[in-house]
Amino acid sequence: MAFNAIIVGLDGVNAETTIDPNDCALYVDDTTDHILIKEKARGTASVANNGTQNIAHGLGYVPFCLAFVEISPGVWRKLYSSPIDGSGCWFELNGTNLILRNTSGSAKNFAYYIFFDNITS
Amino acid sequence: MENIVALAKIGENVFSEDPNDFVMNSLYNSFKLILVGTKTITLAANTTNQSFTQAHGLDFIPLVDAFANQDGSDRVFKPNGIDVELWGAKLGMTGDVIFNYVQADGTNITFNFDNNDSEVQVHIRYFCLEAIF
Repeated sequence: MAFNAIIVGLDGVNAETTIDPNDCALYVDDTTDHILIKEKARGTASVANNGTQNIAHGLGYVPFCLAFVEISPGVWRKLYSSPIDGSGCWFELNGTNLILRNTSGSAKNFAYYIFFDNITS
Repeated sequence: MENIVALAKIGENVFSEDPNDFVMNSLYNSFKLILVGTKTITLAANTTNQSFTQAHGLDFIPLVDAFANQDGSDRVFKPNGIDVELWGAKLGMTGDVIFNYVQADGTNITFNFDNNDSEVQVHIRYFCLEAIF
């Protein structure tokens, strides 16, 4: 290997020869940061219809987050920004809060994941 | 001092206390892709609310995400989004295929689409991460 690296290959991958980060559980070299996202917090919240729940993340910048809603018992749907028709559930982010919003017509359970990773710099 | 395994970003100090300075740090969980797969579906013409399922074979409800690509197109689009084919200040956005959502339960991943034109194939790449709880 012609460069400095720490590589952990996935099953069946030769870490001594691969140069494809997609083949690796961990791929660190001296040219590119192949960053693993780092979890800060996770939780659940019940949000009333037409309600909003602020989750303070305490980071002072906008972090990477994931959010899901239990759209029916035992069925979890991934959330993005506000749905095109303006109804349903979504989340927003700012430097203070992860904001869960619900206009679905009934109270919903949300699951959320906040990461340390700054998405604005 | 705690015993940790950490790898700093290029040019950063591995003794930093800022999590953003690290490629990985054993103080913080990193999400793992438990399952990655592809599925090709055929959307019926001029039909909304079309659902397709894919068994994930996991013994838990996974966090899921997905990307879609219409056959013959180089665009990839996400759930809660239109596959925008044309756009402009006067035209606005036009597209016939909408990826409404992706969701999972203890058995299946479900992909839901609208199609406002003729029958079309869509290729999906899906990702299951760790358990929802």
